[in-house]
This record gives sequence, structure tokens and C-alpha cells, in this order.
Amino acid sequence: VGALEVRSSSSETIAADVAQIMDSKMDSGYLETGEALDDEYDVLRTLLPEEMIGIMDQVLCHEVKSLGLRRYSRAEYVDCKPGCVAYGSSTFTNPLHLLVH
Amino acid sequence: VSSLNSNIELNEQEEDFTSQLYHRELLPRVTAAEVQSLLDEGLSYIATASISPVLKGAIKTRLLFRRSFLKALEHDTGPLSARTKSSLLCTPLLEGIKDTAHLGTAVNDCFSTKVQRSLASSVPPRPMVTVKLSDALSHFTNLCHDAADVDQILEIETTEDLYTAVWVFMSRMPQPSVYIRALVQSFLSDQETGQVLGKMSSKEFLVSSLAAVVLPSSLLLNSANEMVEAPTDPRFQMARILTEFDGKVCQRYLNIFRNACLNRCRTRRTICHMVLDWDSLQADTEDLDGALRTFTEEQPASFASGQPTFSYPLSSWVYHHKLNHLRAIIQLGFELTIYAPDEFAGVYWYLSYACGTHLSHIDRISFFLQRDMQTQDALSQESRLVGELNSNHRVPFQKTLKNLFRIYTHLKATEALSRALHALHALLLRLQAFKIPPRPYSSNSLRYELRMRPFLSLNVPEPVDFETFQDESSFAGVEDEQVLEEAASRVAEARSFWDEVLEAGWSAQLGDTAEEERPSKRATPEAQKRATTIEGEWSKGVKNVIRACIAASICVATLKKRLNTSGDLKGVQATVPIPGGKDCWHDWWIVPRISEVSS
Repeated sequence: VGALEVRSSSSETIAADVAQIMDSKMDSGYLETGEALDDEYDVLRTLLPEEMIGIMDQVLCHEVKSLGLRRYSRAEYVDCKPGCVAYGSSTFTNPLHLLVH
Repeated sequence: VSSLNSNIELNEQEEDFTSQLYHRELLPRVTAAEVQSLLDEGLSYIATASISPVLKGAIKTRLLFRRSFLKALEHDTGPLSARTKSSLLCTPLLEGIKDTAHLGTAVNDCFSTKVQRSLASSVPPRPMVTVKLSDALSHFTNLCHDAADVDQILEIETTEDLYTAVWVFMSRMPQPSVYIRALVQSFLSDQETGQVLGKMSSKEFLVSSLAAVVLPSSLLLNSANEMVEAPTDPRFQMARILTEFDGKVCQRYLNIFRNACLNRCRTRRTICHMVLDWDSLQADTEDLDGALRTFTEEQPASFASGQPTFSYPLSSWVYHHKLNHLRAIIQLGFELTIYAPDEFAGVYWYLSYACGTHLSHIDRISFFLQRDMQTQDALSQESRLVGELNSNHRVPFQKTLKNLFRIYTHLKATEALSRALHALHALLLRLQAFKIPPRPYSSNSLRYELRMRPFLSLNVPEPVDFETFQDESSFAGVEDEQVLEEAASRVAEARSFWDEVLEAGWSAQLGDTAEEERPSKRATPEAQKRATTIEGEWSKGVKNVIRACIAASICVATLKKRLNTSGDLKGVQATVPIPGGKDCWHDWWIVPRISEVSS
């Protein structure tokens, strides 16, 4: 079932990999009971005009994600939760800052 | 209905931009024209379909949006020379979509994540991310506005203005989307023609920058040199040197601009690498300067009453840019909240140190320019004796000197404000006005090493050792009152310098063109409608720095008052704003706020 790649011979890694098989969050090949391998959506099915508008708007939303149209505000770079000091090397919450040379 | 626009893969070579497609091609064999005709078919079908006019209108708006959006994207891939001003045709259509969004019903089963099982990937499946339609529409609206503003960058003529404009544009918050940044990057150096902004070759671009900073009217930059074929001719040799310089520097120079198009974290990280590269580049180009001297027969001169020395034009130009990198690293560090409040004093001290070094470097360049101008004066005197009249030789020199003066003013302003904030933060640190988080695994010297890592391995400016840094940044041996006095005088200085910067305007060309010819004055109605212009954003930025100056002077005044009334400053508490927050006037200038005075 699992399509996970086993990369290391270390027994711990294998154990960790095995634990991920059959977990729908980690294993892209996992199927729920009764779930088909392919989508059964008929692209030629008749649509109501309302559904057509809905789909067009949904596509628009997905495009924002997939075409990288999102603009990041600083709040997304830095976690500025009240009470959490976002400065310095010891407390920071964003791995991006760790990339600083 | 959906037209997957494969056009968008344009120039996404930078790591930052690559959207993960797992070797899937997005409709590579479908041309935009085919999609357009399909959309037209849809439009004419809708026109005759027997459905309610409201729904008909909604579908029509969406199809029209797709059509003009696809057209706009197609337009971006075309050659720059054929580019016309992009219009904001899409924006009203987006409004129409927003108004009719309530008419639609979502059909969730036509979207699926199952495609992931057939991708060449070993990463766990990703869940579907849902974005609200209102958010999606505002992203598209921003995209259209940013795209329209890209044209302003294309209109820019000089390298110095381009540097300012690209930084201003990319410093927008929120930052322009990846697509826009990739687009600007592609214009900065065309993959096929190698042209910069579609109007000059990369070598011309480099040469114009050299002329603007170090070498006005130099024989070295004369393009006619390339026509000389005799290897014994100095002009032939100069062309050879320039070609070698171009080969070493050109791509690196363009990368400065291209790098600014990345996301802010990556921009800073890349500059940290770049600065080392430019350090060795400086050493290399010093050799070229030496080779050049054998042909220019330059005489040494004594600058700042030191040993007689040569002008080193090429490596001076490299050093100038390297010092720009140093400043960018520190200032982006503030923007990205890399430094903790108790580190501000030290970092602002280093910033003022870098500015000081840069100021004396600009001084040095100006000194040699003035000398060269006087040499030219003498030469033209001689030629006047033989009957030729030539008084134009001063023009290029004056232009470059003026440009250097702009840089000088900006550096002076930056230096003064960083000194002011250095004094202020050092004083507050001494008074323990900030809470310092416990750092069991850190020490001051380790933190110094971490913060200075990009600078410690440079040849010039010489790295500062930890002891000097600690003494300088903490005002060791200086009384509190004197530190406060220093802050007060530096703030006043900074205020007047930043006023000067604002007065001088964002572009060096503004001063040259007559008032009525300024681009902003002859703005088309469409441009007037635009909410943002590079000029407007630049002024807003400088005004925010001036606000930070005012805030700093208020802070100084509060401390002074306290000192006068109670005789000392013990018990003063301060907070620092977080960049991007409302109480932070400018991301690069963190002004403390005296929050409470407990006695």
C-alpha cells in the first residue's frame, strides 16, 4: 500500500518510516476502506449555472495558492504573538531566520 | 473553464520562486490563443443561453476576466520592446466577481488532491489549502496594481535610480507577489538578449554605473576603444581591461538588482554571501586598476594628507557597492527582527561605523574626481590657446560629483540617526531599562561573533575586535549625561540631514529636468488614479524616517526632563516597538519609548 521510500538501513529510521505507512497524513498511497484509486468525477456532467459560477470562483481561490500570488506580510515571516519575544537566536519561532548566514 | 496559464512559469529559476511541479507540465501544448478562442466560444454560448440574466452576467464577467487576465500574462512574456503600458482592465472585472460571488454554489468534488499519488515525490501528501474568495480577489487586485507599477521601473534611465526604485518597490508591505518579483527579475536581465530593461546591454549598464560613480568622461569607458586593432595602442589595452572587468563584475552587479527581488529573508541571506564575494572582487579589481595605470599614466596624489596614492577607480566602485551591502545587511536585520533589544546599541554602532567608512570612501572618490577635473581644465586651457574652444568637459564631472553628493547626504543622514539611536539604546541598556531574557548558553562575545559573521572575514573595512566593539558600543568611560547629550545633538543633526534627503528627491534626474517636465507633473489620468508610485512610496519612506527622528527626540527630551527633575535616570523603563507594528515609524529605525518612570 505504502509508497514510502526507505532510505536508510538504520533500524530506527525504518521503524519510523513503517509507522508512517497506512497513515493518510503521511502516506500518499493510502486508501480509506471503500475509497477508489481514481476520482470518479465526470467532467462532462451537466452543471447548473450556479455551480459553474461556484467552480470558477473556487478555481480562482486555488490559483492564488498554486500560482504564488500570495503576498506575505511581515506577520507571516515573524511570529509576533504577544508575550513571545521574536528576537534573537534563543527564542525565535521562525526557521527562516535561522537561514541567516 | 479554467485556463491553466503555463505562461506563469516564466523565469522561475531562483530557488525562491520555483513552484514545485514534480516534473508535471501544465498544458504545454495548449497555446494561449486556443484558450482565448475557447473563452470566446463560451462567451457567445452564454449570450444565447436561456438562463437568468443575473447568472448570465456573473458568468460573463468571469469569462471576461479570464480573457483579459490571460492576455495580460501573455503580454508579459512578449519582448520588452513591444511592450505597451499594461492597463488595469482586470480590476473592475474583479469587483464584478466579488459582487456576484453569492450566486455560486461550490462543487467540492470536482477538486481533488489525488493527483499527488502519481507525482514523482516522496514527501507526504499535502492537504488542500482553502483561501477565502474575498482574500483571493484582493490578491488578484494587488497583482494587477503591482503589475501596472512594474512599468514605472521600466521607465527608469539610470543605474542609481534603478537601484532606489527596485528597493522601494520590493520593500512594499506586503511584498509584491512572486509572479511580479519574477517578472521584474526577468526584465532586469533578459534571458535571450541579455538586455537590461530592454534598452541596454549589460555592459552598457555597467559602464553607465561606473561613469555615475567613479569615471566620468574617462578614456577607459570610450566604446570606440573596441575598434582599435593594434595591440600596442593603449586604447586597445584599455578595451581589454574593460572587457576583463566586465567579465568579472557584470553578472555580479546585475545580481544586486536581481537579488532584491527575492523574499526579504533570502535577500538578506544572499547579501551576506555576496559581501564576501565582493570583498575578493575588490582585491581582483585592484590589480586591474594597476594595469590600467600603465596606460593612463596617472600621477599619484596625496589624499587627506596621507601618503601619495592613486585613484583606483575600478576597485573604488566595487568598494562602494560592498559598503552598500554592509548597510543593507544591518538594516534588513532590523526589518526582519533578527536583533534583540539589548543588541540594538551595538548594531547601530556598527551601522554608524560602516557609514563612516563609506563617507570617507566617497570623500576619496570625490577628491580624485576633482583632481581629474582640474587636469582637464588645464588641458582645455592649452587647447584654447591653439584655437579650439571646449568648455563642456566639466559637465560629466559635475554630474558625477552631484550624484556622489546625493549618496553623501544619504549616508550622512543614516550615520547621524544610527549614532543617535546607538547613544539612546546604549544609555537605556546601561540603565537596565529593557528586560534581557536569560540566555544560559550565550555570552556577549559569542553573540558578537554571530552578528558580525558576515563582516569578520572581510579585508576592508577591517573587522573590529570584540573588546573595541564593546567599549565603543557601550560608551565605556562616558558619563550618562554626556551620552544623552550626544544622542540629543545627533538626533538634531539626523533630522536636518533627512530633511535634505527628502528635499533632494528620489531621483537624481529630478534636479536636472525642469519643473514642468517632471514625470509626476505630466501624469496621465490613468497614472493619477494609481494609488502608488515609486516617488510617492519613496517620500513616504523618508517621511517615516523623519518621524522616527522626531520620536527619538521626544525620547531624549523625556530622559532629559527626568534627569533635570530627579537628578539621575535610575528606574527608567523602556519598550521597543516591533518592526511592522503601528508604533514603529520605520522598520530600519527602532526608536525606544520610555514607558514608565518609577522612582
